Amino acid sequence: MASPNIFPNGLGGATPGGLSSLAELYCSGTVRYVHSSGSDSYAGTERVRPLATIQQANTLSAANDIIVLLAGHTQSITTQVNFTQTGLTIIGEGLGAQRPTFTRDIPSGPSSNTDAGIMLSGAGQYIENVAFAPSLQTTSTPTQAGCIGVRETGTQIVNCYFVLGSSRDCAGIDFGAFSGGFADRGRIRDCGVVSVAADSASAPLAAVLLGQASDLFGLVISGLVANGGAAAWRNANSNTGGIRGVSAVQRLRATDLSLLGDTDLTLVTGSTGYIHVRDRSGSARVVWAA
Amino acid sequence: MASPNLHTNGVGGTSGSTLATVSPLYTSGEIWYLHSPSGSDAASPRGKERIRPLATLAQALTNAGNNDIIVAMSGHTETLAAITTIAETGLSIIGEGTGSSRPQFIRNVNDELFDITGAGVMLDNLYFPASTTATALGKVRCATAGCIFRNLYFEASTSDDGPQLEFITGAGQALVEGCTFISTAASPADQPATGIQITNAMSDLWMDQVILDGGSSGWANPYALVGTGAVTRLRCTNLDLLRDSDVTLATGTVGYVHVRTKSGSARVVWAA
Repeated sequence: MASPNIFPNGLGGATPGGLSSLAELYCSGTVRYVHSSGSDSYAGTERVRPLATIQQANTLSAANDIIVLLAGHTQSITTQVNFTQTGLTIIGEGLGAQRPTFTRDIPSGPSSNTDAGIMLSGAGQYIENVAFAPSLQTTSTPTQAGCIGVRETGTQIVNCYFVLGSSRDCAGIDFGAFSGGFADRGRIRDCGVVSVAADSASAPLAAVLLGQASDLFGLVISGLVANGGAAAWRNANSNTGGIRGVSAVQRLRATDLSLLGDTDLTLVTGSTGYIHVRDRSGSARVVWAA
Repeated sequence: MASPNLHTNGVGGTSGSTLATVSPLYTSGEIWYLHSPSGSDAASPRGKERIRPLATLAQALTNAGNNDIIVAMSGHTETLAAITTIAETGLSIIGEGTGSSRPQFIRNVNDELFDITGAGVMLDNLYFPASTTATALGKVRCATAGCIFRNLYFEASTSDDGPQLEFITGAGQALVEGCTFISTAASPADQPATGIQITNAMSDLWMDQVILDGGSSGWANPYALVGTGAVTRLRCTNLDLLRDSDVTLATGTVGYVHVRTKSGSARVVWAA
């Protein structure tokens, strides 16, 4: 490996906290910038000449690189973006409406292997401060994967925000999606998932799915807010909406959990660990099978 | 597995670890309370009630199983004269209280204080004063995957000739968050060895809001964070390198180090 890169001014952004703040940064990988005003003909390594799409950033990236989504970046995703490089970091700059936002518009499927918005398929990947708007597709069949899918070990999803409002929406986060069961020891921190569906017919499937493929081990969740809004989640009456463990989650550590607007949390037999509920509203409940 | 336990008032505490706050808590395991001033050791079910805590960590570990929670209550203080092996997977040892009332574990043995071998162990809001017996071994040693070290406060001085937190073969996907490592040596002759040491190669070390502080006399190593083994995917953000606390990373380390604040001659040495 070459000597690490030293950025005395960090990534040059101004978003408080974390990698985007103005502080010294040492990194072994290459940093690439993305903004919808940019061009995919650029190299993307200069902040003033960003790439236009996350797909191009993905194509150019190697293991342990950093992709910076600049404030105000917006993009429609029509085909799942599958990140395979290990240790890849994707961080968004900007707060509120300026937070980089993706909108799924994936008509094909359903297939858990192909219809996530962003699929994190490399070990140790990290995504922070990214938002998803409701899917533009409105068919009655939800996709089989979330806005962000995870299928490798040591993945972290931090400070991401998901607005679901279409019957095509499966979930905000799909941890353990079609993985072969290797999405272990991951982390979900300070994320929000909200349903804005107008009625139960258009309600999204769930806020978060855990272990669609097989058991998960060592998942850490902190500060997750799941809000069912007015229409909550599809199948809410059968405990399959809200936050749902499809397979067992072993050594689950969930703290500061907010279950709002009738959002239930369901775990299947064999799940171990703990769930610490900070806030709840409506008929929110925890159903943990013995 | 039996049905999970529902603790409608949480563990009943009011400060310290997030888990200690008063909120509904669902657990698959048991909760054990630990308080040296008021507790008494006995086999289970002793220690399951907040008003009848155990007195020692050793007894709590004897009673506890995988995925259990040990709540060290505010004011708990314990001097350990033998190594404590933490082998239960998914075990949480959390402290209540703040500042000097945080649970304290003082090392008085030429050995590790805590030797963590159970996958997915978490330590939260504990206070480790300077050792009282000289040793070159790590104070808290991690040899397994998925462990969490949160809000820990390490003081190190003349008897601490080894690292405060050490990762050895078997460690991986570890999180170090909100922890402070400070040299309390009174003079350069009393310098402790180092704060964090990655002794053997590991994957996925995540560090956030970690403070390395050399105090008035610094570290002997002289690095406060020493990587002798390469880290595959180091993610270090909001690192404070205070008063000459240096970082050195081994060849082959990949990832990033984000320095929030620094003082003195703090530096990062990352071998190519």
